[in-house]
Amino acid sequence: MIKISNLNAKYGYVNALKGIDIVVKKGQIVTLLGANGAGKTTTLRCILGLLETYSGEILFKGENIIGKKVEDIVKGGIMSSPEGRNVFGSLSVKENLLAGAYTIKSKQQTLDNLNKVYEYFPILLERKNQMAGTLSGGEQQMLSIGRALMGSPEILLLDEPSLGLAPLIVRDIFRIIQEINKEGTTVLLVEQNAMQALKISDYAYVLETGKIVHEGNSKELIEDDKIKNAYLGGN
Amino acid sequence: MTIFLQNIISGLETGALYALAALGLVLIFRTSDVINFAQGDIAMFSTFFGYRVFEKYMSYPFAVILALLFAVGLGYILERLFLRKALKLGIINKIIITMGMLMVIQGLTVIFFGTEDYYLRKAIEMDNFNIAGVIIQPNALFIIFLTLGIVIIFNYLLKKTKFGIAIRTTAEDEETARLMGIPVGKVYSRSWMIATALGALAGILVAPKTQVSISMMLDIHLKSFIAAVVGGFSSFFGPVAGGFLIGVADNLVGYYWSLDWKTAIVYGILLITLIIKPAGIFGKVVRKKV
Amino acid sequence: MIKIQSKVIKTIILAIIGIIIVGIVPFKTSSITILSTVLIYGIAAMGYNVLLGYAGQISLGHAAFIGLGAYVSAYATDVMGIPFLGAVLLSGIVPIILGLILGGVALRLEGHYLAIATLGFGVTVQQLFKVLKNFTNGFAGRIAPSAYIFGIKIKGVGYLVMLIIITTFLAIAIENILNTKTGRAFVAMRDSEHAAKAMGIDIVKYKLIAFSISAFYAGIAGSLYMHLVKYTQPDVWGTVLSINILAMVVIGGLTSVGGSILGAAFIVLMPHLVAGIPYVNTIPSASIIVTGIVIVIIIRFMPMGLITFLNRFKRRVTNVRS
Repeated sequence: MIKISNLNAKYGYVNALKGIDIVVKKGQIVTLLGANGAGKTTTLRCILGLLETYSGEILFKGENIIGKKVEDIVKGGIMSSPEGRNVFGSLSVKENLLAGAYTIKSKQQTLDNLNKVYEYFPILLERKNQMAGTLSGGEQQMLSIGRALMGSPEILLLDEPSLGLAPLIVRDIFRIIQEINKEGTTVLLVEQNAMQALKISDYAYVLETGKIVHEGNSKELIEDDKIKNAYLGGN
Repeated sequence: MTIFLQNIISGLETGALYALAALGLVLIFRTSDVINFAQGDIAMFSTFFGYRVFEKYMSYPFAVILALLFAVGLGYILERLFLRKALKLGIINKIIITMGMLMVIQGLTVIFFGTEDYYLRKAIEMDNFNIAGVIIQPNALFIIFLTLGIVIIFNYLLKKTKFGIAIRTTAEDEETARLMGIPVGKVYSRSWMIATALGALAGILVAPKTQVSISMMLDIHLKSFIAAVVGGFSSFFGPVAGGFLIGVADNLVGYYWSLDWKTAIVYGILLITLIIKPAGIFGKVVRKKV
Repeated sequence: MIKIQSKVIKTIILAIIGIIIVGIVPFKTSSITILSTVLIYGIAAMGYNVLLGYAGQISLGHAAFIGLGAYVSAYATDVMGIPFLGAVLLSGIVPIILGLILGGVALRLEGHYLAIATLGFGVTVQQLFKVLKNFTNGFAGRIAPSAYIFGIKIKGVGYLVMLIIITTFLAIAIENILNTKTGRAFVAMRDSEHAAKAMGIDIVKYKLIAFSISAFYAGIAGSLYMHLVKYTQPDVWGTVLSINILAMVVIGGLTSVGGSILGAAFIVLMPHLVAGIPYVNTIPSASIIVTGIVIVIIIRFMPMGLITFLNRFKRRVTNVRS
């Protein structure tokens, strides 16, 4: 579904990505692992068209989306839950979700999506009229993912959904991500919590200072000693 | 007592105009992050246009509608021409761009409409009526209720429509709004179009008092800033409330205390508000993240 | 140290050349007045640059300080009989009080809120100018006597020469301040207040210092203006002037002392230049339209200011030579 070839990206004079290649097949959960500053979020931002300077090729369903406007890329079927969740604090939970459905023309489909999201995340239904800024971290993360789902995306980009959340909540959220994927949404997951990410994903890439240093099936990577020591705490 | 009520009504009348201008100001400010210093002159230019139409066709409603359409078109052109490409520049640079805009508009006004002052009639030209000794101008009531109506409609737009969500999300977090597929560019242009229309309306309604002149919007323009601060920039309706408040305070102080000092005192209210509650009466302070 | 000294020497040489040119070339009186105005605004702009460019405080009511300086100077020389130079100094000092007040307000506000607050502040002070008739004479306007130094009347070319000397002196003073700990504190504050606080920089102290310096320079500029033009009334000291000062500093180049003077020259001279263009000057109000357009173009394409553009140009030229 997404094929990234030789992607180079800069922030000003800093080379954030130095020629990476990533493939995300339809229906997969692919995860990008790596330490802070490795370039994981930068990769997502490139896909979304948020970055200024980047070169290479990003094919989405066969079409090169480099240089396209964010609006068009999103409309094309890529929705995201950004790092830090970024819920609209002054809007209610329901309004946040409706914002996610902005590109959906049909009222019926919006309603259907809304009900689907409430199914995945019942707590959001409970708190639907509450100001999003007053939700807990875990609830905000659910809202952020739910909001992205409202756009009926073909692929969901998730940036560090486990950040700052208690392990139990992280497990909950990752379980739901698997559900969402089973129902047909491809997922590209950026994570620092390597263990959880590898458990639910099909394929993984490991980034280090802008380059891919390791890749493979997630099952294999979990067993791999090098990965274990570097990212999984050596257990 | 009757005089007091008359002053209140008169204050609400001027306050309504401050409120309209302040609403336009804060709309542009919160969506496209610009303090539009050209707001008053755009309104003035549109009012001149409206006057010319009225002069030619003698139909007031027709002239008003055309003037508002003119303002809408002007707002669209100005936003796309001057500011769209300059989005990445900081607020200071954008302020200066609006200053350049202001100069161009003033110059164009002189070219197209000359330097003379003209008289434009009131919106409602009816005799005053008398309720229990209080003399009420129908025009004043019209302005007050029109403004309240606009505010209610705007509130509906913001809270109940899809585009309202677009405005509120863009105002809060533009990048994330983009990620939702929200057409941020459209939010900018429409904010400008609404703001310039509101300004033009204020101009048309104040024209009977100030004459249609180059400096006609000066008072409203400055007071709209005060209203926005006193009411609170972080909400859309704070400035509206601020506008009414300033209008009434202005009138009461002017009548009961001193005409000379009234403006100074009103600005004094601003300073006190800033010291006690910098974010404004209805505002919330936004703490910047490190 | 060497860097500062060579800059100081360069500035003084520039000033001496300027004085010689002004002394020898028979400029028209109007040109002398225009050049004087450039320097006066330049002084105000230099001070404002410290506030905006270095300390990063967006202040949109700066005309208030200049106006206060003007009125203080007029009052001091006319009513109190203080000699000219003393009055100029006084005109710089009194606005500092106002600067500290505004600085106090600025302590609690950032960015946009500060911008609007200072705007309101400027307008409030202008209102006070209109109302405090005993001090300012209100709408009738205030007059001021000519400048006298040691009994000699200073006007025309002499006034311009005096301005060159004062401006040079003030420019060197600012360069020196900015190269000390204070200057570095400003820059740290501008880039990130939180980070600066974390480094132990006393934000309160440095904000107040920035407002004071800018108020001082503004006051002096106001005084020099007052004794050049010898008449003023409150309408002069409004938002338009404040935004003009802002434009001067930004167009000239933030964080550049020379840039401030360049920016002042630009804003003052632009309308006159346009009035000189053959076809354009037959259109009424052409000068204001063209100035507006040019300002927008400069900000769009040279957001770092004219001085950066000039420096790049200078570098290219010197590279060609070597």
